[in-house]
Amino acid sequence: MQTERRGGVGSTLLLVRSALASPARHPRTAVVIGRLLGLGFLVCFGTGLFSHFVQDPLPGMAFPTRPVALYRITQGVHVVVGTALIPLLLAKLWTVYPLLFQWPPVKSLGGVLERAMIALLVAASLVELATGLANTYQWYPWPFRFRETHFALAWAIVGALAIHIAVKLPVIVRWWRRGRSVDAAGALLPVREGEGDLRPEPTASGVTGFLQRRLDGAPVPPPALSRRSVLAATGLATAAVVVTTAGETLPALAPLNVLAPRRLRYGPQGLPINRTAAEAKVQRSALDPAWRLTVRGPERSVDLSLADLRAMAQTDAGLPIACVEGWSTQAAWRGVPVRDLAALVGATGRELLVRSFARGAYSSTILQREFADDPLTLVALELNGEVLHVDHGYPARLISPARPGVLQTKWLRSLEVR
Amino acid sequence: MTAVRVARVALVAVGVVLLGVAAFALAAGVPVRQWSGILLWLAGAVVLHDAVFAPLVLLGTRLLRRIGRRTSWAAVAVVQVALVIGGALTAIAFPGIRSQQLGARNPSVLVFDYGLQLALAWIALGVVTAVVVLVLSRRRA
Repeated sequence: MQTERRGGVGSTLLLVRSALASPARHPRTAVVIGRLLGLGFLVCFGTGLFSHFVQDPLPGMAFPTRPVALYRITQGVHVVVGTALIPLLLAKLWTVYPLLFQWPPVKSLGGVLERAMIALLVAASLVELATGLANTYQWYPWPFRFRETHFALAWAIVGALAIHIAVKLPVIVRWWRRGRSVDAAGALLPVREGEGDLRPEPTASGVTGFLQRRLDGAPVPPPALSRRSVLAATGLATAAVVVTTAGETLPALAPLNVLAPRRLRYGPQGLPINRTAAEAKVQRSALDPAWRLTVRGPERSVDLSLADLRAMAQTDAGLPIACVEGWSTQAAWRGVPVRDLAALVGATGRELLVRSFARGAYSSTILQREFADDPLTLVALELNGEVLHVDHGYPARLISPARPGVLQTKWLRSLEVR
Repeated sequence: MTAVRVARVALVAVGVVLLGVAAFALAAGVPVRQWSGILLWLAGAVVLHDAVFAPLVLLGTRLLRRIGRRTSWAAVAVVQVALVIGGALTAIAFPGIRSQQLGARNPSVLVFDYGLQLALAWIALGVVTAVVVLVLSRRRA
């Protein structure tokens, strides 16, 4: 170990780094946790993009309608993996935390860019995961639009991540394989020059040296135990947050769901709700006996009463309600296929504008051609064997396969060809 | 150029494009008057982690190490793992607790008493940790 002369700030930072020293803070640990973290972010990015575009398709985009649980799966994965990323991100930051106190902070222009990119990556990741989690609990303490910010930050994260991986690639390659990272006894190999920045600190002299020896002289656990406990803590904490929340969408984990915002099959008629009829202020129009569903096509238009709809051929469909917030529940629906209604007015195979009596966001949405034409897309009148509860959209609601819950319009007013 | 070098150049190029999309998405989707709020949250998150959370973790680690020297390293490791698990569950439950204080939108949202559930989780963790530590010490003795 070499002795270095340094200024006051440099000496202080050296002591901070010495205090932070741990056998588990090793490039191999950063690689092991980092590749899981990177993979998780990519999974969330992909499923997030799918959710974004299924709600706001770009011109010419079409989406698969099978499997019917497609959106239930992608959005469930998005939220479950996003939750799992929280302990993983904190563990990764723990591993590399001493690098924050490097002195001099940057050695070159490239170094400035590298640290700026890490700052962006860390900040965006923390905010993305924290706001995403809070959003699932319907707590919105921030002064900006959630969805648009979540979308922009997601691109920033994968962009900064790509550059971060590029910068660290030689270190990642060096410590990727276990066989090259440990000795015959299973202990991690020492980090040589150029193999990563998490290296043993140089020995200082004078007062700094005295303080450093005191810090280094403090008791440390055996290296193997230290490293194993960090990995065990990371793995178990990640498993714990998944196991206690994923049951709101995954039936197999439902008995272990103790912390999620929702419960499987919990709500009126065995289905959770986001917006009630009272909240949407639709009770009067929804319960009005004079209610009619207007179906407007290019040739003609019909107004159908509830009795008219019930008199038509009914179809049964087992389809999930799957919310962007990550919860989902399978349900049995009964009603009239939208394509039968479209055929009444010469609108077969056309994209439809779906309008609700509710006001505000999603009060009118586009039902794309592939969904409008799907035999399982229904104007549903019944849910789990009963007439629709008013909070589930009585007298009639839309239900279609492989789409997010916000687009399963309740309290239908009209279906129109634009 | 070596394979690693090619990969690095490609990754930087991809990263720059993705950051460009991020800037575009921000400009197109979020009103300018909200940008300062986003910036504040980004900076706040880093400060909260780097200047508050991480130093507290360091303090806790060094404290536990003192105990470890006098007792058993394995026992301390078990306690550390339990604390990390409990910390992660607390982080997950916190927005539920806060949101519940502000009031749930309807009875099908926020279905648990999150404060109580979290307390029970900590108790369960404490019990399991105590049992494991006890078993470890028996085995040593």
